[in-house]
Amino acid sequence: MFLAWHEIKYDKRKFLLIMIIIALIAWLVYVLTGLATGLGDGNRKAIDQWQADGIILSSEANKSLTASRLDMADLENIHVPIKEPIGQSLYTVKRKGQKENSRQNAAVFGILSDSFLKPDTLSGRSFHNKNEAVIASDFKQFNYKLGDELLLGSSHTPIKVVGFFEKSTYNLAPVIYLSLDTWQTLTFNRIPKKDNLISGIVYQKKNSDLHLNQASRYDHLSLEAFIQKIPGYSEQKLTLDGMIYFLFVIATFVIGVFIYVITLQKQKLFGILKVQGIPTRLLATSVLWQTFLLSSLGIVLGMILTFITSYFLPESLPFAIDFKKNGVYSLILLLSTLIGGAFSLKSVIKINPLKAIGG
Amino acid sequence: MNSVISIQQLSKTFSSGETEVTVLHHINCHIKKGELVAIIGPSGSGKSTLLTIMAGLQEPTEGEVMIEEVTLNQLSSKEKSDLRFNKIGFILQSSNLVDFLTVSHQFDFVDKVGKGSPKTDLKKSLMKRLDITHLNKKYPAQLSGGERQRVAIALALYHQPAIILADEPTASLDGKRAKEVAKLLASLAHSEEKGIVMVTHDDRLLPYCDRVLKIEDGYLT
Repeated sequence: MFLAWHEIKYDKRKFLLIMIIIALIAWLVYVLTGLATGLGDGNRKAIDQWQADGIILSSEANKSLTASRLDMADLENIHVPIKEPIGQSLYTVKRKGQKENSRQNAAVFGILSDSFLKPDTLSGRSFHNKNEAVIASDFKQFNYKLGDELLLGSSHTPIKVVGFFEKSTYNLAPVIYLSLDTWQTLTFNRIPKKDNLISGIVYQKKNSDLHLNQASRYDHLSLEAFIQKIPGYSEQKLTLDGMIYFLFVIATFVIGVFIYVITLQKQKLFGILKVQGIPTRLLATSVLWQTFLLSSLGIVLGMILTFITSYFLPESLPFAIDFKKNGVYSLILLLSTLIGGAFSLKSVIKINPLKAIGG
Repeated sequence: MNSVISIQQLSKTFSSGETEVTVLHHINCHIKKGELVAIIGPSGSGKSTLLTIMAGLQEPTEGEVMIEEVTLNQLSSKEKSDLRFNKIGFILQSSNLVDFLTVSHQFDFVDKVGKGSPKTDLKKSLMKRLDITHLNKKYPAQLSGGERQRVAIALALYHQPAIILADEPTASLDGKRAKEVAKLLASLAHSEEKGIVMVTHDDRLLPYCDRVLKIEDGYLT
């Protein structure tokens, strides 16, 4: 490390350039990771907040909660300690009196008033009566307040906001919870005899097994499998993850080329040091130390840039810093650059000391 | 026996396709402790080849080289590298200093490689003797040719080798500086009991040497 560090100190400009390139790559990796996490959270946050074990959907729903239709009577066919009926629809929402173009997308869940799915409110109270709702804090960015009356979709029945709960989104839309009864009325308004319909049944196993009567009528999914089937979730995740993985490959080659060129420039010096009996292992280690130092500094700089960036991103952009994932990606990035640096080791080993002294 | 280098029946032949060129023929010589030996001869006579074989940087075609009691031919490449670091100091025609280390750090680097504790007193005394104390914090690019060679000599002595091999150590110096370096090498050979071999073209340095070996067409004359 002695040689590596002193060379960096001596030729600051050259090594700063390499460090900045690594920092830019790291910055891009972290921003993409932030977007992937933000988009992922935007799709699944509400589901994660349930802290449930799985969900039962109708078999013809193709694993989509929105497309699934069950009846309250289906609860009798599900044998598990805790089971909750849930209704779900995607609506547009506006406050009463607002213009139509001010509508936001909203993921509306209907649940029983004593359901374990019911979120704790941060302000206001929980819903007790028909046509009351608690809404996610995400709505605050659109100036929604307690006591506001909401109009969902084409319904003219106002729904009163009685509470706010923590930020929560499903399929990138902020979440509204209301009673199952209210949801059924909203959703099946024009089909009066169908008001016992629900979308699915969420359950907690509590260390026991799940038993289903008439199993062929149902699709039984773990929550993770269910999340993977949220429309667009896997595709978005795969796209961003693919970009991140390509960046690791690019980082390997970029640092590999830089370190190789620098090593070529030092061939005479390394040759002269070999003449003096300096072990090849020490020279090779010095190249790897240099790569390690430059990469570590670049990665830290990339992280700092990401934190700064996160303060300037608009609220509506789905972006979240996942420290665990960033830690893992930092290690992968470091490893990628070390692999790039290792490309030069062969040239260090092959340096002929005789040539260095003109022999 | 006081020989630090013993060369017996050493020949070196280079092959290029079907052509073979013998550049050294049956060389026999001994370098003793405390003597400065010059190897002279015209360009292409084999002087530098002999020096690099002494350093274990290339193999003789025939014969053997012994450094103190160790036969070089029997050593692996790593063992030769260790021997060069521990037993031999080098002074090369072009500066053998590391560009990005200050004069002081060049000594620290030798300590790091040798994994020993810093020899502060030795470093101070060498720097004083070679009049380079004031250059402590300078980089090689900030030194004159003479200063660089004096630092190189101090470094060559720093790990206390028994032998110093100098390849044209005065080539980049003016006459006055060249004589100073030769005088210094002679003084070090005598006072520190080092065996010093100096390959040179410069006849003006010969009066400072204890012995002069002349090579012509690969033969020691």
